[in-house]
Amino acid sequence: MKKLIMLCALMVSLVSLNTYADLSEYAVDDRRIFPEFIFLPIKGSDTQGAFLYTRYKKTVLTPVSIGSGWRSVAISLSPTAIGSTALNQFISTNNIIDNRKNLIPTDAELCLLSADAKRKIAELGLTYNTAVLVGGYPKACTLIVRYYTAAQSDLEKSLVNYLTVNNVVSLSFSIEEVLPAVSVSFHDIINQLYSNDVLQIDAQNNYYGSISAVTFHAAQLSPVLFGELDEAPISFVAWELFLNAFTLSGKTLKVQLTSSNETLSIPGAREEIVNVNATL
Amino acid sequence: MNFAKKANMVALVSAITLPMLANASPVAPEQKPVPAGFSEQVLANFELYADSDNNRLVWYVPKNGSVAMLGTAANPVPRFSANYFQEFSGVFAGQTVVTMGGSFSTAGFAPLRAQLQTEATRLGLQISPAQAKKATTKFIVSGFDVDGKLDPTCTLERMIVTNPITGETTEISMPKCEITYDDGTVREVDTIQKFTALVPTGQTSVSTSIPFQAKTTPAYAPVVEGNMASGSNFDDSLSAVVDWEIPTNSITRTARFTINYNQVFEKATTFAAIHDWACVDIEVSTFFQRLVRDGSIKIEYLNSNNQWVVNAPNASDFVGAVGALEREIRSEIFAEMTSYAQPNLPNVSRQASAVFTLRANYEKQIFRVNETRVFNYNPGPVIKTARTDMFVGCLTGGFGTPVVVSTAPNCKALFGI
Repeated sequence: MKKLIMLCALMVSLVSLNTYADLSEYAVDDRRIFPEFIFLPIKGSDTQGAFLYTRYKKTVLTPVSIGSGWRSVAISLSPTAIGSTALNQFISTNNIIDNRKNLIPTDAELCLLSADAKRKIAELGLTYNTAVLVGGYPKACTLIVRYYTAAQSDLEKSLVNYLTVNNVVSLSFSIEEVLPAVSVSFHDIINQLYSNDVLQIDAQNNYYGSISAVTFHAAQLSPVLFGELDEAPISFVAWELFLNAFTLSGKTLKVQLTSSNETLSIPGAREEIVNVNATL
Repeated sequence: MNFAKKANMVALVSAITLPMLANASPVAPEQKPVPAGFSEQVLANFELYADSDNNRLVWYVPKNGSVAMLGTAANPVPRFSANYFQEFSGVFAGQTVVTMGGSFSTAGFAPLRAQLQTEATRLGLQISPAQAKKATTKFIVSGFDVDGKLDPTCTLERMIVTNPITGETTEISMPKCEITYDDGTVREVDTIQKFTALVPTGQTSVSTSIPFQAKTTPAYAPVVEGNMASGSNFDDSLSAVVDWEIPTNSITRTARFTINYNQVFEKATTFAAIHDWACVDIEVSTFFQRLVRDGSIKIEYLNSNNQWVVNAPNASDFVGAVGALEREIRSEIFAEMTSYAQPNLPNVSRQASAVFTLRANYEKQIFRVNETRVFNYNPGPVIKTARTDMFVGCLTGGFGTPVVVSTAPNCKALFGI
C-alpha cells in the first residue's frame, strides 16, 4: 500500500529581507569582529549599527495542542552570543545602539527539516507538516512542526526527544561585501601629464617628473581616467595603484610605458563577512 | 507704564512671534538645505527639513520606531500586553492562543531624539516633528501586507491519512486559517489569525501612536511566550511601516526683470496679428517665454549671497519667475476679453474662456523705454515622502505580569533606560 505522508510545502513568511544583504548604509571596513558576533557600524558612526551572528543554537519549545487532535512543536534558532558577557560588555562599554535588524539574506536556507528527521517522523507513523517563520531578531528563524497524534503521547515524547537530541534543522547563509573592480587608464594619464609639461622624457624613454607636480596635476584630471563615474572622487585603491606604478628616486617619479601597464586593474571581488552553515 | 508703551510692546511681541506661526512649514531640501553640522548618525536616524521662514527651526521625521512608551524617561512603561486566551468558538475552540494589544509609536527612540536635540542645541537650532498631510500605514502580519485588518477564514480541512506502519486509513481534519486573494491564490496564515489597528489618516504629526490588537494561532502561542521571555522581536509575525507625505513649501524667491518696452510692443504687435488679434491663454504664455529667451525681457535671480545672477538656480525657478512676470505684465500689454462660447446643443457647459487682445499702452512706449522691476515668486509646494519602520521587541513579562523593557544591554541602550 502506498505510504501517504504529508509533506506540506514550506510556508515562508517573508519579512523585509533582501535577496542579498544590502550593506550600503554600513561601514563594512570598520566592523568589529568577535568569536560569536560581528558589529557592523552604520557609516559615520562607531556606536550605532547592526549585529551579525556567527553561531546559533537550537531551542525546542514545549509542544502544544492546536486542535482536532493536532499538536505542534516550535524549534527556534537563536545566536549563542545573546546574553553572553562578551556581547553585553561590548554594548555597555562602547554605548552601542543595536538597530535590531536581521541582515540575513532571503536566499538563505532557513530552518529546513533535515532528510533524516523526515525519515524518522515517517518511521514514527506521524502525519505532519511544517511552517517556517523567518526572523524575529535576534532569532534567525523558527520551524513549526505540526503533527497528528490522537492520544498517542508516547509518540510525541519520542518525536520531541528526537528533535531535541539530534541535529535536525539546517541554517545556511553567507553575507558578502561586493568590492568593485578598479581600472586606471595609466597610459592616457601619462600622456596627459606629458602634454601638460608635468612629465618629461629622458633618453631611455622614461617619463619622469617631480612627485609634488605629478600628484598635484594627476589629482586634477578627470576621475573617469581612474575608473570612476563622472563626478565621483578618485578612489583610494585607484590612486594607490596609480602611484605604485612609478619608481621613486629622491623626489622624482619615473616610469616607462609598457604594454603591461597600459591599464592598471584589480578585478571585482567578494569579501565574505559571515558564513553560517550548520545543522542544529 | 503708559498705554502707548504697552501697545508698542504688544506689537513688538506679535512681530516676533507671528512670523514663526504664520507660514512656518518644512521646505524641500533641494530648495533650502538643512543647516549643516548634524552628524551622519543623526541623518541616518531622521529625515530633516529646513523651515520656510525660520532659519533656526528644523523639522524631523524619525526613520525607526517601536512600541509606544508611557511612564518616565528613566522608567518607561511599554504600551503592550500579552495574555493567554482560551478560544471558546470556531475551529480552535478549547485551544490556548495569545491575545496581544499595544500601540506603535512613530516618535522614534528617546536616546536618538536626545542626540538630535543635543546637536540641534549646539547648532543653535530648534527641532519639531514634521506635520504630515497623509499617512499610509502598512502592517506586515503573518507575512502579509495588511492596511489595518487581517481576518482570514479558519476552517477544518478534511484529509484521509494512512498510517505508514499499520496501513490503517482514517479521516481526520486539521484547523487551518487561510487568506484567499482576488486572483484566487490561497495562502496559509501561520502566526496571527486576527489583527486590527487604528491607523492615522488625514493631517497628522509624524509623532503619533497607532494602536493595534492581535490574536495568535495556537501554534504560534509558545513562540510569543518565548519572545516575551527573551525580548526578541516579533518581526516573524508583526511589524509596521508608515509612509508619510510631508507637504514641503518652496521658498519665495526674488527675480528682477529688465523690460525693453519698444521691443516688447513691436513683437507683441506681430504676435497678435498672427493670432488675429485674439490670443488664447496658452499662446500668451508661449509669447512671454519667447520674450525672455530672445532677451527682450532680461530675468536675473537673487541668489543666497545677495547677488543678481542670470542663470536660474533650477528649472522650477525659471518657470516660477516667468509665471510671475506674465501675470504682472499681461494686463499692461494685453487686454483680457471674456467670451461666452455659443453651444451648438442645449444644456452644454457655458463656461467662460478668455481671449487676449493687444492693449495700446503707448505711455510705456513713449516715456520709459527700459524698465526694471523686482518680483517675488514661489514655485509652489512639493510633496516629500518619508518612512518610519517599527518593530515590536525588547519586551519581557506579560501573561499576568506587567510588560517591561528588556534589561538586555542593547534594549536598555535603545530605549534609554
